[in-house]
Amino acid sequence: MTSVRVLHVDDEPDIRAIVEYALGLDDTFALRSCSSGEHALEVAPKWSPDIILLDVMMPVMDGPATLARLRENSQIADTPIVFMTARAQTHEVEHFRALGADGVIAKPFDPMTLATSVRGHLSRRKPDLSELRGSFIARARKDAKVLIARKHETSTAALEQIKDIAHRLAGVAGIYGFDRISIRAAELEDAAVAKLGGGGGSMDVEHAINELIACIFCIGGE
Amino acid sequence: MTRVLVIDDDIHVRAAMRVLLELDGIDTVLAERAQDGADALGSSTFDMIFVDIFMPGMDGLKAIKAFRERAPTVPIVAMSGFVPRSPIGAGVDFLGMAASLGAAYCLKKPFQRGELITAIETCLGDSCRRSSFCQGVTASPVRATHSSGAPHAPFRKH
Repeated sequence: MTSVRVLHVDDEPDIRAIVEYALGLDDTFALRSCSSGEHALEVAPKWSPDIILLDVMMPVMDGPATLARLRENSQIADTPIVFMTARAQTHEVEHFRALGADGVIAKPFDPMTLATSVRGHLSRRKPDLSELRGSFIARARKDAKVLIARKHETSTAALEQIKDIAHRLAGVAGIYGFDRISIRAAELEDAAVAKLGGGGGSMDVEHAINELIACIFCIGGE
Repeated sequence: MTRVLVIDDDIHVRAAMRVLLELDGIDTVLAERAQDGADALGSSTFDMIFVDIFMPGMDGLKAIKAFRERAPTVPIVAMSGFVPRSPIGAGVDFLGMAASLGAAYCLKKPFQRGELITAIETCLGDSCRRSSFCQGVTASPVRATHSSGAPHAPFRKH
């Protein structure tokens, strides 16, 4: 019988023991455990696991940093990597997917069903750009709240923050198909730069913020 | 397999580029900071590099210069968003500065998938056309179009 090679990475000995027990209930799994991200970087290319289960909160090299380093290795580029974490709310899962994770197994997990969960993640799923739009919309709305809080301020620090948010939104929104947000954000950046330079742009900063925010909160209509 | 390094401090740009590039079978390595990109370049090999110009720390322009010195044969694509008008006139030509430092192509953000593919085809040429990712993709002429509508010739390779 061909075994499924699972590499589990967690700095907590108790968690490693529970995972060993849980996957040991199913003799199709071959498990290796690592206590750190650095150790996983050594083991993974040599052992070629079918899937990697990765803790998020670890000292020295945390889960996201380990994931990024693992993905640099072409031997592991297509290996499913699943975070095991207590941070498993929808926006957190979207964040982990944006980092390149293939999925999340929530902690605490049920040892009796862990093998089934792991099997469900075995085929590496390539996300579609539309799946990431939700994460971008959440970010744009968060940015909009900062802009609302800042829109009556005229200090250099406030204008610099407005300019930075506008610049980022202008560059990103169009990639996700939100062209109007990109255009409005570019107008805001232009207005903020003009204000920082002591002049006035073609559009007042406050007005440009209002236009951008209206676009962001009408996002469903794009 | 074509292998590219993407360096951008914005998580949503990185995530989108991974998706768009992997759809075409391109192995994509992501780095948040220029220093992370330099580390990746030290431990692995790439066919080309995408670098955002505006990043904290070792910014994109410095990174382009450093990467050209370390890997002179690897084409670099400079990415930049909207450049606002300066209070005294036209905005600073950061993409022109990137070209003078050795970037082979500029990619204006936001970009569409076709513009990304054009950048890769332009930089990798025949080796790209032979690879699987170019199959089924209509090759565009070697001109990217800015969001302003003005055509923009790729930078001459140095």
